[in-house]
Amino acid sequence: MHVDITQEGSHVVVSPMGDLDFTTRDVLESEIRRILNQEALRIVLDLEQVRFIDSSGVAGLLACCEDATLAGVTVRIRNVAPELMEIFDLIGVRSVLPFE
Amino acid sequence: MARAEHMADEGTAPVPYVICCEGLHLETAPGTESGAGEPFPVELSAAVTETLFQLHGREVSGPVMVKVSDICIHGHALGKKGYLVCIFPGADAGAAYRCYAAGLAQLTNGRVQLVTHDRFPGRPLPERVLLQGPVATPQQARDIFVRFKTLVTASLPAKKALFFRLACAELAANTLRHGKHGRMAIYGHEQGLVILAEDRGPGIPLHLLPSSLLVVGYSTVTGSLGAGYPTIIQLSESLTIATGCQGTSILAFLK
Repeated sequence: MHVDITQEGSHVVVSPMGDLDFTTRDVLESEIRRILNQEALRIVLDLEQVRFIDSSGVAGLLACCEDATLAGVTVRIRNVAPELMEIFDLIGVRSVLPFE
Repeated sequence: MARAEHMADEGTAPVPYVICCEGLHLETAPGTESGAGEPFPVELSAAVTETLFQLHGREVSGPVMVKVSDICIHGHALGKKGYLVCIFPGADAGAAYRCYAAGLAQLTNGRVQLVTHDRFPGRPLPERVLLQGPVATPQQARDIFVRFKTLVTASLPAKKALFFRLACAELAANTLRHGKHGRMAIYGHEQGLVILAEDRGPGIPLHLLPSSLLVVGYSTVTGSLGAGYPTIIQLSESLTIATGCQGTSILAFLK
């Protein structure tokens, strides 16, 4: 998995590319932690390039949100593909994820 | 299970039933040691008995599972979502296993079958194996998962392939996380696929099985969502599991 980081005004846009699963969640989490050390105010997680996620990937997303909240940073998730939404529904986490 | 065996070894007199609940333990007969886990509070034991009476009537003879959230103390629900209680007669390991098997089958309309390792279905016929390999390191798990993706995306409709991949990812992650000497094999079966995942880890303690398998958010591992097994079960037509001190074997039928 590759993670693209761009600045959009005062927001940091984090765009993971590839599958977000038990083998790749660490990549995203360490990227988020790195950004949190740089005093960002708001992180936008853009999932447009993610086509697959498993429960480990979901746990990774939730861990990112928790780390950010602890650091006083807001996280919003956007551009979720329909197939990802189906998996969120199946796992039962749609209502706890902070969509934009 | 280790505990039940221990009791059987010591020749402890059989107890009417044992109630297990998330490591809390209650023996309804006095004089039996309480073993691992915290002692079951007397008040809670009365509440469990009351709940059983309400749900099943006075005569509880077979295995029964109860959601802890159904249990009330002084009119107030315990509120612990999804926790389950299993009751089984006697204290020998075989009886406990059989009762958990019946309980799991009952809770899942027969889709989850708990069997002992000697009853676990045999290895797939070599000609039916589509791919297989060890899952002992993250790289090996990734390798199986990537090969599985190629297999299903080429041969199945998109949505089916997506859900099959999800089942494979959850099984691979579990095998890697909980087990030693993990292995997975995927083979063709009628109109579907079967995933076999085996490890030689410590196994899942019986009293944690219902919650681990069926309750989303229940996990013994930090940083895990606790959705792995429930997701696998949702995605499986049927699932056979054997677990114990020799490890855990899972056979998931996907259709």
